[in-house]
Amino acid sequence: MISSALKRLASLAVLVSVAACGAITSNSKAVFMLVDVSGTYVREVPDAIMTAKLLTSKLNSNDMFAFGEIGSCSFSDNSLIVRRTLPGTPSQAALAKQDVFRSLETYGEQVDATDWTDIRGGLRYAASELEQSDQGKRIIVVHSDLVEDVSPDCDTSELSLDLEGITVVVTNVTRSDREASDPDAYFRRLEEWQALVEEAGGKWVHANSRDRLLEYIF
Amino acid sequence: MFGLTWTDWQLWLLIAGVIVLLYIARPYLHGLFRSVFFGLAYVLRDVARRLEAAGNAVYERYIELVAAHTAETLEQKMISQELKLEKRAPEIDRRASGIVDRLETSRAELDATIEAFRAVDLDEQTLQTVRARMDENSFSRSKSKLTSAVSDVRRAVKEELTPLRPQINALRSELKPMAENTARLRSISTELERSAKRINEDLVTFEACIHPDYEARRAAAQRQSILIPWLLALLVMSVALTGVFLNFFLIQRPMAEIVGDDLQVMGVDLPTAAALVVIFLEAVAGIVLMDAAGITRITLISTLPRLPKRILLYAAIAFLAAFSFFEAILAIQREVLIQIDQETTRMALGEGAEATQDSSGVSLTMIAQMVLAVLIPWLLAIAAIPLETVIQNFVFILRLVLHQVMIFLAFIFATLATILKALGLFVLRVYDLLIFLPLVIEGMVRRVRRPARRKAEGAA
Repeated sequence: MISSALKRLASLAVLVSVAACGAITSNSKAVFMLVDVSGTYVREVPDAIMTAKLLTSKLNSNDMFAFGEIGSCSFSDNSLIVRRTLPGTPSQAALAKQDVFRSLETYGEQVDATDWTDIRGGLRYAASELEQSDQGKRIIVVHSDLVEDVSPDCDTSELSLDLEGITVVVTNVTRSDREASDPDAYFRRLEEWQALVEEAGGKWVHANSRDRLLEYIF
Repeated sequence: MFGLTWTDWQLWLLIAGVIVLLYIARPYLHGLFRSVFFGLAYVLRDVARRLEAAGNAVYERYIELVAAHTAETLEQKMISQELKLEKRAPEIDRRASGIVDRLETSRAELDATIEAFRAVDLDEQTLQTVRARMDENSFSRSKSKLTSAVSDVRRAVKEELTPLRPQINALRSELKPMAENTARLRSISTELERSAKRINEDLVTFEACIHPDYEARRAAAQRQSILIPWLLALLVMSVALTGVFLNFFLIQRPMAEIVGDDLQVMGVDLPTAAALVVIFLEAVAGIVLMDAAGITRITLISTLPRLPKRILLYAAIAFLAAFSFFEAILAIQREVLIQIDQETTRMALGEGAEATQDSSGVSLTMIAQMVLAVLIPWLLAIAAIPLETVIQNFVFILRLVLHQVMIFLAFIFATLATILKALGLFVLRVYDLLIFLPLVIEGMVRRVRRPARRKAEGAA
């Protein structure tokens, strides 16, 4: 009797230690999507909203989704459009996703173009939001042409970034007309941003299509 | 060779030197070759012998196991047959008694009929009637008078036989039930005879399986088929596993509603792990049910006393019923989840929620899923029956395979030993062939010396 009780205790201890050694892990994700609304790039917003909706539809319960805009001074609470952690059950999560869709659609109907493009501020804001999240995997999706143009009132060009443990996925990086004659300029721009993200401790991914983006995240 | 041609005397001198050296070293090199080849062959043969002995021991153990298992099975079978017969004995007795009673009644009625037949003295009555008529008409000999007398006789006979008619009818009505009852008795007898024959056959096999003589046990065990029941059980198990697979996909998705879907256990999503756990629990409940019901003997439950067994039986039934109910609910939830997900996907694609079909109420697919969900836990319980055969016969088959492998290895080692020995002999012969000249000379010298030595010995 005693030996069997001891055996049970030992098995329980093994189970607990297996759990403690990382047998149980979280696969939840926190995704912050930043959308550039400056200048002419604002016409890409419907496409960004469609991407955001598809991305949200594939999230699981307990995942977090946030949607913010890259505007003149992005490190601001005003730039946050939606922030939602999905409930623990799939059915409730699906209903929450539908709420997110409605918010995004409303935003899409009333979005205004901004004069300046503060990408660093947006990245810093997203990183600080993700830092507080409990999710295991943290991703920032940047839907922008990556052409930064900061205003004199909100100069973030020297802003330091901490992207440790965060993956930055850039998508829909459009090529300007000027770059048609100088393709290297486009790649240089990408490389510069990649260097910036990697120096900040983040992981850089360039998804050149929506499918690639979804494929990478899920 | 060594830069020398066959015509060079140095080469021949070298060969002669080598031959002389080989001749001198012959006893040592012969010993070395014998040690290497024959020693290795001895070792290999010893290994082969040991492997063969081990293989035979494994086979013997296999025979003992099969014999013991067969004896146990037959014992259970005979006990169950005995119980069945015990249960049926009063019924058979009642049936036989009823038939015998009816036959008795029929016999009594037949006796009465026979008595009635005996009481009829047709000859005497007819004779008296004819005589009386002859006396009355003694003086008339006309044809009409005779005809009248014959008619009278006929009437008399008819009157005499009239009381017998009911008896004949009774006899006729008795004959049919008698034949039926006899057939019934015959069928009971045949059935009992068949049972007796079966029991006798089982008893003979049982006796052979527990016979003190190993040969008898081996003969009995060798008659038992191991592979075919195993293959059949495996087939049934595969079908059951297909059911498990189906069940898994039915419950995996809605399980997320209970356990959430953001965690992983050792790399497996939590709903998947939870669905697997539910299936395992159902399988365990099924095994307990079958063991407690006395159908299988996979666990020690079959050795428990009656009351705990009964408690476990009811507990297993309750658990399986609960699992059926649980899975039915999950089936409903699954359908709901699918609908919500479809709606969400449509909204994401900008198609709008209004495109969603009216999904209120119970659909046919939901009913089908619910039926499957209710049935599968019980089907899993039934899968415990072939599981016993699969496990038991797998152990037997493993032993048999082990025996065959060991015998095969023993054969390989024995062959290698023989080859090595032959190779050693060949090497020794080749060696002697190389130094045949010194050996011939040595032989000649010995032949010359032997008579001289004998003479010297004789003189001494």
